[in-house]
Amino acid sequence: MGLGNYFKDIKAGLTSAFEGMSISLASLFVRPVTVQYPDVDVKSDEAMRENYNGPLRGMPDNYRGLLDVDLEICISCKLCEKACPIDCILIEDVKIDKKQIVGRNGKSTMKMKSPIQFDIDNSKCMFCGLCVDPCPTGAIVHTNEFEFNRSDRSQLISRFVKADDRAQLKVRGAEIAIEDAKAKAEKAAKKKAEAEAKAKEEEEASKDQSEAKGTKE
Amino acid sequence: MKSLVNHFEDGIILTNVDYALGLGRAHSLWYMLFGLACCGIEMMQTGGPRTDLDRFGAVPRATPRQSDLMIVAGTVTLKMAERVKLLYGQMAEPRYVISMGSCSNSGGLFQCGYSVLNGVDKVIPVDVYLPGCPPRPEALASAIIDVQKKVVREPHLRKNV
Amino acid sequence: MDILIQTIGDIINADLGSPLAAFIALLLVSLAILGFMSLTAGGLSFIERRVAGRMQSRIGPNRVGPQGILQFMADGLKCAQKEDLIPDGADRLLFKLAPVLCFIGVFGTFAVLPWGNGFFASELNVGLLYLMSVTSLVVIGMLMAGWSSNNKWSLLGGMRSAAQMVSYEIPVALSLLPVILLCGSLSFKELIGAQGAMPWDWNILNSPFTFISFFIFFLAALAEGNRTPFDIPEGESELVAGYCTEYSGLRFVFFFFAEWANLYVIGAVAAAVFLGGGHLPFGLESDIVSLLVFFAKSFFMVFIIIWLRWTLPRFRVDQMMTLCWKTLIPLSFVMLFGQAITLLIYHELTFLQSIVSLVLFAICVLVGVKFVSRVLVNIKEQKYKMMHTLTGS
Repeated sequence: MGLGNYFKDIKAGLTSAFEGMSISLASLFVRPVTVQYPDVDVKSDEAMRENYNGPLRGMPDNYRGLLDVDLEICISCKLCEKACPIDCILIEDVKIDKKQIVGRNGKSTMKMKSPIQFDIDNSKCMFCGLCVDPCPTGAIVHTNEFEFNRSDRSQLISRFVKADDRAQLKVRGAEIAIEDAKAKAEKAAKKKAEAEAKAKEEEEASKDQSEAKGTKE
Repeated sequence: MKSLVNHFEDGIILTNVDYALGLGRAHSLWYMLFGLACCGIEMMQTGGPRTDLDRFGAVPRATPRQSDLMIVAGTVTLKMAERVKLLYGQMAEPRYVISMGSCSNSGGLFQCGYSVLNGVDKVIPVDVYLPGCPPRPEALASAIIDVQKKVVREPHLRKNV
Repeated sequence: MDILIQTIGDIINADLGSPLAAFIALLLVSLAILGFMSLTAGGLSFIERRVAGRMQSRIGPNRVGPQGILQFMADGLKCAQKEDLIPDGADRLLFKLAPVLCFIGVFGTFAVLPWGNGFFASELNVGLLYLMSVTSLVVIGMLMAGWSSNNKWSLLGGMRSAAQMVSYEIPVALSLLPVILLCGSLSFKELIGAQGAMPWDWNILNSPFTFISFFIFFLAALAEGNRTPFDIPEGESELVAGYCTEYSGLRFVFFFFAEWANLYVIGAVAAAVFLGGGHLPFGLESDIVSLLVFFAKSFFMVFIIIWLRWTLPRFRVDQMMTLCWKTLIPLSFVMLFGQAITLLIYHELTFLQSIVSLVLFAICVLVGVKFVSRVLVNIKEQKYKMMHTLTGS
């Protein structure tokens, strides 16, 4: 029994080594699957097919790469900031002149505010996509960009609002704020006046009523 | 060789010698087998058939003495941070570090955890930060290409002013 | 290179009276061998990485120079620039000596290795014996490296490599004995001269005993060269990098050189002793051609070693020692006695030898055909898998 197993083992060892060697030799004659990355564009399936002829596929359309924000249609609702589980989005906004915008989903919305600071810290971001879902206009989206290497951590933050735009928006925002304050004050004054007038009327009415009551009595 | 480093003035010959030496260093970045978390899996995959880091002359080495590149792949806990520092100290000069993934860049998802180091750059100097959670294999390859560019530009023999 | 060695050999013969000329000639020979050894070791490291890549469906280094052929130069340049680290607790003298010893152990073997049918750096009449004994220096180097590093992984790796190499030297020597018995010489020149051009005239096919001896020699030489499946002294999964854990820069390159040059030594010894040296049939034989044939045979053996490395998994320590002491050594003794008896029988019945050789040759061809057919089947299978499973369509 022991001796039989001994020879059986030897036979199994030899045949498996034989088969293994034939498999590894065969793979020398089969094309490697390697995607030669810097020479081959892997960002989409079609782009990859241009320079690569193998079984692997490029990145899918719904790949969650770096975030991109379309500031034209961002209404600064800050839903993404709230949704982010690691607080890597920072938004500050000002009021702007109202305008009608059409979101990525086709719905048109009134844009009242615009961000003057929209920072995404890519060193923290975990590319989960939770900020993309609640966006009402589809302003924040994942691209299939993945090369964002920096030699300094502070450069990893993507700042979407440019400095010029920010200054302009700030100036205009201040003006709007003043106008708004003016309008508010006017409105408040008007309201006050109205209220006063109403109060007067009511007073008079109650006077009349009491008088009428008095006369009745 | 050590006695020659940072020893000479600028000159056309030395610039070319430096360039050649830099090419040698850049195309033989042996990285240390050093995966800390999920990015480690992606790092192994990068050495695999699809991206094949071996194309750039980067092969894994098990010991820090023979490796030139440390890929900090994953969450650096406070306990591991000491080891990371020790391993970095054990690597022979010239040495380079890639901080791979959000966790080692800044603590990432776990930045508020009581046991997590917020960024590996608090313990060792980092050459390239690579965002991603985890970065895809091609992204790690691009980081290695970035390190190569940096290495080639580096004056090794000339005085670093 | 061959011309260089020949002319320098002539100079030695001519001006042996003048010690200076002899010294210069020897220096030139050793420099030429050093150059050859460096190129072989570097080239083999590149070939190994490419072959490994292709066997794993990768490409391997292809960015430095045309198709990455200068990869080993980049590695060498890099290693030369690395900081030379010596650990605090290390024994400095032994730490520095160890890589040199390893290197000398392998470099010394090149002195007697044949370069074809007629070319030798030095033609020693006890060439094989010298080769076996000089290789033992490598063991001392590795043990020294392991011990002087003052690192437990290094020490374990060094101990393992010492145990392994000392054990496996015995089957290597014993498996060479049947051939020595057959040819009646230890000199490489006579060992090659005793063989013919056709495969059935080679020592390997002389009798079933030399045939099995060849495999014993091959396995044991693999283990002595620390190659997979016997590379436990540097097994990354158990010991960090074995005996060379603490070595960096150029000192590591010496170990690296020794390992890859040893690969060529194994191939060359196998080609010279068992596979008929540089002989070529049909009257095509000449000095230069024999050189090429010899290199082709050696590098084919090296390719088989590389191929084995990327196919088979690593042995466990106890399995490896069991294989050596309980299987290979008794078996090689049996082969020695068998060959001795066979020689007696051949002496009486001369026609028997050619029949046995032809039968063995036929068996080899049959196994080869079977193997090639399996390879073809596997190629088809892998291509099918590549087209249909990976795309998911």
